[in-house]
Parts: sequence; C-alpha cells; structure tokens
Amino acid sequence: MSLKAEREIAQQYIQGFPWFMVIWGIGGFLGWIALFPLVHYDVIPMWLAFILATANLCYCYLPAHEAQHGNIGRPGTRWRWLNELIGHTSVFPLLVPYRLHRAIHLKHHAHANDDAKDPDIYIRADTVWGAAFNAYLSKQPGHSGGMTDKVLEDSEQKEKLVLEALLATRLAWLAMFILAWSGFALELLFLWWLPYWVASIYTPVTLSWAPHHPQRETGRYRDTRAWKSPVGTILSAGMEYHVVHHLFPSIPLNRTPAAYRALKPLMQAEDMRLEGL
Amino acid sequence: MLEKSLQLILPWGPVFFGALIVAPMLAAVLEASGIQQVAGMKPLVPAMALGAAWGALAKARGRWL
Repeated sequence: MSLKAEREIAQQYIQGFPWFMVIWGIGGFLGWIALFPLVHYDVIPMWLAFILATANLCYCYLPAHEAQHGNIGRPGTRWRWLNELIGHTSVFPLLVPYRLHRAIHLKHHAHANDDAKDPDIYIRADTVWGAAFNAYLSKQPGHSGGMTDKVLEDSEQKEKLVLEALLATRLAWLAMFILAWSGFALELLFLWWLPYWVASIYTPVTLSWAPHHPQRETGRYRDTRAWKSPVGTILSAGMEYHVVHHLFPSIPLNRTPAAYRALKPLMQAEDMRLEGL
Repeated sequence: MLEKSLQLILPWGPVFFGALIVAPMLAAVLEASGIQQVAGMKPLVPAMALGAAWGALAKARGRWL
C-alpha cells in the first residue's frame, strides 16, 4: 500500500473542528467538579456520584490525548489555547502533568514496542491481570511507569518539563489538601481518590496494553493491532480502532471507526494485525 | 539550590500525603460510621498518626499496599 493512498483516505477524517472531543474535554472536567457540591449539599447521593466520577475519570484521558497530538488546535493557530486548556485540565484529576506526558507520549509513537525507547513498555504482560498489576505498580512511590523521563534524554526541554510536572502534580495535591481540610474529605475519597485508582489502572490497561499486546513487534504496520473487544467499543474506550490512531494520530478518536472501515483493504494488503474486527 | 531542596523534600511525599490527605479522609469515614472518638481522642488525631505511619511504610517499601 502506498503512503499516498493511505493519506488520501485519512484526510477525509482529519478535516473539520473536533467538536465532540472539545465538548467531552470541557464537559467532563466541569461535570466532575460539579459532583463535589452536588454531593456535599445532598442533591445526589454519594453512591451515584462515585459511579459517575469513576466513569468520568476512566474516560478523561481521551480528550487530553487528542490535545497531545494537537488535534484541537495546532501550534500557531487560533484554537491552540483551547487545545492546551483541554490538555491540562482533562488529565488533572489523574495527576498527569500534560506537557511532560505529551513529550513522553510522542516517544511512544516514534518507538512503539521498542524495549529501550518505548515509555509504555512497562505495561507489557501476558494477561490483562498482569497489565493491571503493572499499572498499579507504576503509581507507587519511586515508580514512574509510563511517565519515565529517561526517554527524553535527547530533549532540551526535559528539565523544564520535569519541573513543570512537579508543580502540576503538587498543585493537584494542594487541591486535595484543601478539600480534605475544608469539610470535603468524604467527597475527596469517593469522587477523586478512589476513582483515581480505578482510572489509573483502567486507562493504561485499555489504552496501552490492549491495542499493543503482546508488545513484541515494531514498525508502522505491526506495532498496533485492531481487535474485537469482549466488552465492546465504548467500554474499551474506542481502542479496538487504535491501529488507525498509530497510522494517523491526527484523526480524532470518534472518527477512527469510520476511518478504519475505509482503510481496512489497504491494511489487509499490508498484513496488519486485524484480529477479528 | 532548588534542585537540592526538591531532592530533599520529594522522597518524603508519601509521608506528607499520608498525614495530610489520607488522614482526613480516614477520619471522615470513621465519623460517618458513627465513631466520634478513638481512645478518647477525635478520630483525626489517630488518623494522622496512622496516615503518617502508612506513608512512611509506603516510602520504605515502595508500595502503599
């Protein structure tokens, strides 16, 4: 398949402003914040808010992922500020520093499944439970998991990004501290801290492990797979079509299924890993 | 100077987190469960001791659980 033919098809799904991801990013973040007063003033019960917060945090990485690739606004364009705003805010509940993570994530795209250069290689495991354990371990004291800055040795921005990341994560700690000591401790536990742990395991397992499993092959046409998820497209966060994202990161997540169907004949010709989808 | 200060403080993050963030959450759960006193103290006092100890353990072991 020629890259030119791929691009001609992909271009149809890149055009236009990604409203869906923008509404998701802003709405998700504001909706999560709104849960705190809604529970505190007994407008909705804690159990319901816990479910909503957990679902919200499990999906909050995805708009930031679009921002990492500049899909909302490229540098120098009128919507760049919105791109960066969504990038910073939507992953704030996960304590992920946006700009450092973006630099690291782009290394994942450049070196997917490379033992030494792919920052996501830490999630490699034979089973989903093994991946879940690796995700859990990556959030423990002294572990960096997918946030390893070792892959940025060649970056002049590294020190600045690491310092900014420290500030961003401590800002989240400060927000937690204020909530904890101002009468919102229960809300902090059930709307942030517990959902954070669920999402911090769900997100890398679904977004990093599943579409690259078993993380052994490298190269544009072999490092990612399409697969039929047993839990469906929504519960697998659209990652069944992640293969499209690695070919063309500029295609927004909600357009990857249609792009997949259009690109499928070309993918089959390249013997890409299309596993039952 | 900044780098040295950060290198000194950052490893103690789990202890701060345990004492100042986990502890109020734990105390709130105890109070919501109807436990208003623990050994004659408000739940927050033992919760802070437990949170700090848990954080110190997490720092030493490299794992919260």
